[in-house]
Amino acid sequence: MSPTSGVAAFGREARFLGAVLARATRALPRMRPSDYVTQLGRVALSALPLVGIAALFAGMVIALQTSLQLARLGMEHMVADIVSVSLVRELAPVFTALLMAGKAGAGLASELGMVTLSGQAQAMRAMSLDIDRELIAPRVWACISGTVLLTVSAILLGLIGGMILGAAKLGISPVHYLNRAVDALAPVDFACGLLKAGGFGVIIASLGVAFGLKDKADAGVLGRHTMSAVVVASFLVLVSDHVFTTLIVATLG
Amino acid sequence: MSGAPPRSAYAVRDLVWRLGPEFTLDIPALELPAGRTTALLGRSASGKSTLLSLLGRVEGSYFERAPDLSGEVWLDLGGERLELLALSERELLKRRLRGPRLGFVFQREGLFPGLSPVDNIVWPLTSAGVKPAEARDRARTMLERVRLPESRNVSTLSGGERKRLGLARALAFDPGVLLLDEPLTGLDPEALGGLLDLLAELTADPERTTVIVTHQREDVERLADHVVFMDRGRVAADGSRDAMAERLARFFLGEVPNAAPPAPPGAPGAPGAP
Repeated sequence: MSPTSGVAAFGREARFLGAVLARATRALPRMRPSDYVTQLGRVALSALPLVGIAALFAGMVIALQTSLQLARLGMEHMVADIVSVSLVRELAPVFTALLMAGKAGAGLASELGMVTLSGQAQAMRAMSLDIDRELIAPRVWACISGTVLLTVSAILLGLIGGMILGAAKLGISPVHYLNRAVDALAPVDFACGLLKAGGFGVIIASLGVAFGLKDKADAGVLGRHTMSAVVVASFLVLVSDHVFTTLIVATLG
Repeated sequence: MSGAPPRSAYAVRDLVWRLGPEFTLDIPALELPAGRTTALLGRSASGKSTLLSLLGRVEGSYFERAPDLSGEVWLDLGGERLELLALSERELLKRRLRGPRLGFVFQREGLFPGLSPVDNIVWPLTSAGVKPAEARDRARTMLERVRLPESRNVSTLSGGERKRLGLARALAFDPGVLLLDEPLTGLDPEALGGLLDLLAELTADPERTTVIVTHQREDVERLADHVVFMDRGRVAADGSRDAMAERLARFFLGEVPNAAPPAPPGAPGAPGAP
């Protein structure tokens, strides 16, 4: 999908995005905690190995690339500082969100797409079953909180990845690496990273649910809707990253 | 079935729904008698199921009111008269109209594959406020009536068995209005006989209004008091089954009544005409 058609798709989907979020918020008091926990397990726990391993390797490669550049300036000792700040503020939330768009976003769109295609959603309406409470709210809140929790684990594993690289290639002791990394981080860095992760979670969950529950005539449409949920969410994650960062920096400094 | 004309359960007024360049549902006026069974007949894609979905308010998408839909569908529940199209999805849910009072049986059953046959029936009942023990009793009774064993897994049910479970689920509410979209197609002769008897018994209740979309002569002969012929999104003819006897006979020989073409713009009676 080209950026222009991505923007056009966003225009069409924006109202669904708002509608899903409004429904999930209104249905929050009615939501059964057990439904939320089940969905959190499906969304976050199932994505943990994927996100964790990706973050570990991302941490290593960033440390490697950063150290090569810093070596030219004779500042290799700064590697932990730079890797930790960039992980917390930028890389962990964006990496996690893109992986979640592919896993949780596609999962939501295809699961709810089957619910729609098989006529279950229509049958639920016909029997006054509360779709907001039963389907939308637990999935949306699990996806949002799951994205934040997975971002936290991506930060931790990314730091460990950097530490391993530092010890193996640069001869920096793990304790020294971690001390520098922790010293370099301020609360505002975490606020910036985790607020963004929450925002990305909103985008992924809303689009997954909206595309899933859209009317569909056949399995071909289900496939297209699932792909759109992933493509539009990934696109919006990257575009909104700039917007969120600007807003957070302007507010928190 | 004689005497004064019956009260109308449904009154459709100026209903227009453009579903694409090829198809528009266009029903200026239609009344469906209360306490009786109306059969909707016509070719495939003549608008029968579309009309039925509007009578049950399960049309279109969950997130937005169907675009290009206008007109009124009045439902008289005896003491309460509602314009269904004016109600939002949230208002419909709040009133618990669909399910407890408006039963819908879909062509595509929409069963919940993760739940047992009993729980497929129990979940909607308990959500509507029926006590769990009573809901289970009702579910078991309904499964017995449609001759479906409780122990089966929904994903292993055959087409006919799925139909029976869909029917049992809607009937468990004992709704005053029953909307059936081809409920008896694809059934083996034994199951068909049993279910036809069950539907005949249920639709004979003078308190229950039933609308059934069907292509089968036997359904019409056993169940229907009133007949509506549809053609290309419009009503071609409607009336009591006796009054329509000749058309019905011709219909089942393959001669489908045609609707008059829509009035040209500007003609008297056409939309927007003075």
